[in-house]
Amino acid sequence: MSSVHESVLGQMGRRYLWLAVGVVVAMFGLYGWQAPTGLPGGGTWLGYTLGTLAALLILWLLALGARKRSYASKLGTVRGWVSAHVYLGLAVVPVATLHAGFRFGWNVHTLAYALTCAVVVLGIVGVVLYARYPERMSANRQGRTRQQLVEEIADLDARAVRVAQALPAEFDDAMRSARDRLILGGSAFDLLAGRDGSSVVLPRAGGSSGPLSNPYQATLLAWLGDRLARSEDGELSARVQELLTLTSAKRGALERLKRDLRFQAWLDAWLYLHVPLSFGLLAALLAHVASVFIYW
Amino acid sequence: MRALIRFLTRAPGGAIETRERVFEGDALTLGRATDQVLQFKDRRVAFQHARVYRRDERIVLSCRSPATIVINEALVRDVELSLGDVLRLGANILTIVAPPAGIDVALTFELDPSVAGSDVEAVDPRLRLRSVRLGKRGWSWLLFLGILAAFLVVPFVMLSGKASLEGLRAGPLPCDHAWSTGALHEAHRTIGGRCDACHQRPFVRVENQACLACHGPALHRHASPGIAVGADPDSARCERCHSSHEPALLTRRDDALCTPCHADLKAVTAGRSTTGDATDFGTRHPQFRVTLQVEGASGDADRLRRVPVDSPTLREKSHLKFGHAQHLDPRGLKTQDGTRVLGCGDCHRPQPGGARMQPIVMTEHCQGCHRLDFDPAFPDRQLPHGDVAGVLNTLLEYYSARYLEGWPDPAARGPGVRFTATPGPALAAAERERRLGIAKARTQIVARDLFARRACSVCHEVRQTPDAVVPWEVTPVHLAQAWFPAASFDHSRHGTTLTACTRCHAAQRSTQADDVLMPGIESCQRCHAGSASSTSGKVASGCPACHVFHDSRRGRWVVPPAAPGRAP
Repeated sequence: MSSVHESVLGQMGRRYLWLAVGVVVAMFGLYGWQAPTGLPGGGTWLGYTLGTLAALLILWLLALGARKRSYASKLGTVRGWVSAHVYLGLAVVPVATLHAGFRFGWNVHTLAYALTCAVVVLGIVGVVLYARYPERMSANRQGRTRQQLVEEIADLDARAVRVAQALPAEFDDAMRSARDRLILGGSAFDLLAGRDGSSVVLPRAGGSSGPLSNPYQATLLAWLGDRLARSEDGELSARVQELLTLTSAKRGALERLKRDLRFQAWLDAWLYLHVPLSFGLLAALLAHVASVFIYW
Repeated sequence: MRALIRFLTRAPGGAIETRERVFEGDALTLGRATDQVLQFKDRRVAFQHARVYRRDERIVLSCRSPATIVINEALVRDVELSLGDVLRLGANILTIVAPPAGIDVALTFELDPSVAGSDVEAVDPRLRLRSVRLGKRGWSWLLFLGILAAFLVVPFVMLSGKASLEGLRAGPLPCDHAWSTGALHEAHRTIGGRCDACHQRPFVRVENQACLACHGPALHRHASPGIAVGADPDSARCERCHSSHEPALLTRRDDALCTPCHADLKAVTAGRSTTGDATDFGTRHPQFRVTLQVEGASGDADRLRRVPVDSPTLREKSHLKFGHAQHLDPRGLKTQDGTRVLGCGDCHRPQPGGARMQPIVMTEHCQGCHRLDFDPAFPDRQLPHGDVAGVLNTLLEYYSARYLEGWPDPAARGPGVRFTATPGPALAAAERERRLGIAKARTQIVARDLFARRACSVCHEVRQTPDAVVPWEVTPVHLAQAWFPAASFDHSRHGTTLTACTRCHAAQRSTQADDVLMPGIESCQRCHAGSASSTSGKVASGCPACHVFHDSRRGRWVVPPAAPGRAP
């Protein structure tokens, strides 16, 4: 576990862990102790109590979004808020389940419950990702920044184009095309899957090819290898060998960068669902509470 | 199609660097996307902006709508290219030049030095999710407003109009059905999806009128008039006990339904209730009280008194002479048909359904042995039961007929019937009177014997009265038909070998008709315990096992006036 993660959920968060455990145990105790007249559910006095508690918890959990942005706030540290957010967020599911009396259906009430569960599960995903990825990211970067990785690739590209200038035009075209058609990031899918959407236009007998897919420079490396095998000129071979070396190095740097981007994308991705679903949950919660009293 | 692309790069000194590329394919594609033959790193260019291809002998350029391109300072979408045409696409200039041999179209490609390069090369590498048009804010608003509108605002607005509400319910969008917490009980299926049939006013709890609109005619109140249902104003609400959206609980059958009031009924009714407190059948329940008619009352249901079964003064004034013990003599009873051993079932027969017993009727249950014959010569001739004047008339008619047999009375004829004298001697008037006199005297003797000694007084209290015509009076019999009218007991459900009649009714030891053979609570508690006593090895029996709430002996249910401080 990274040290940052430990400080959020560990030492500092301990008191919120005990608070959450206390709340859940107390509510289970009340639930077991009470003898509802009729089925358990939101309509009993305990049901209203649990529902109010769950709703207040959800509103407070949503407030983290506001607290995170207000840098001037003196209302606790953001770290404290995050650890409380995690532990009390986990407590919402048992409290809401007791509020529902373990009864569910196809209605707006269960919609609110399902969204609660989905948001909490995504939150757990986020906690797990933040527990594992930062460490793997630093191991992958080996002390460099992302910008340095990008610059390394650009540097390798520039060197390759310079080498190719002295060679026949087909090499110049190929190396420029590989440079121009390199895609570092890409679509959301590319980022999350680590897919490389780069392409390259290669010279062909009588003209040039259309764009060819060039994932991790594989197509270019194959083409260079082919050219090297066919070369009978010692000087040319040496230069092509140099291009191969540079492109291989570019491939390595690219793999490192794409891995870094993939980690980053996953660290970002869960929040892209966590936040919008939280707002969906807020709407479902409002509809749940209002509809219960409209049709009292 | 073969195309030659000549890339021109102007060096700062004015020198022009040229690179050429030959493309061979169906169409030369231009755009920002990576799969385009000519890729533009310029935001003003669409992903798939245009394509250049050969149509017959001409070379044409066609933009993919809505993209356009500037050719020779004119904005066009589809155009036939000719030599010398200058195409401007973002910050790029493409010029059609004369193609060398074997090439269909040739063009030069260079950056326009006059255009600011801010948009060129500024296509930032999309390294983070936030740069790929995946927003949190937009989705958040969409989900928030979408769910709020679909599940709250639209259904709520539609509530105001009946037609619009029906329309929404018929459609595919969520309607107020999404607010339902559970399916209705089968008995309420006819309501269908019309939530507003019961939820008549928003933000007001379901009112009793909604229930009484259908149930009013058949519904009885709980307590007697003048006694409040309870201190809790909620206790008068139908929904307190009937949870419509919990089919299993449409009718509640738990003790908590009753105990809030019955734990201390005196306090709840300000001392007016005489019913003992009860919270649990096994541990806190008053002794049973049998309901008896008040002496002298004429069947008025209100003139009843209730006496605990263990009261030493408990007697039923039935005005009957009867002993269960004599009738159940195991050695048998001497009857016309020989010795018979009677069992309970010989007289006590269950009503259809088996819950309660049929009333005891003399002609059905007693007369088989207690025959009402009066002339040993004619044992089949019996007197009517239950009618003193009728008995006297029957006797008089019988004896008159016997003494005047064969001597019809010429004067006694019905209207319109002509008397035809029969041949033979006629009875003289004096003789006729004499014979009638004997018949009357005989009637008196037999009647006195029957009423006072032999037949009637065996079972009944018979008094002689000064009345000349009907000189006897039989005290009317009051037999209770329902000892515990408020309790629902079913004999048929207790018809096991473990529960023989005598287990609850000590008939073998009863010698008096006044004995009340109803069992006390101890008798039931041998097998039954309260609903909370599931571990006692007894039948867990809550209040509704024996009691009903809507009591048909009470008046009709009416909407109680709204308690102060609640919604009107």
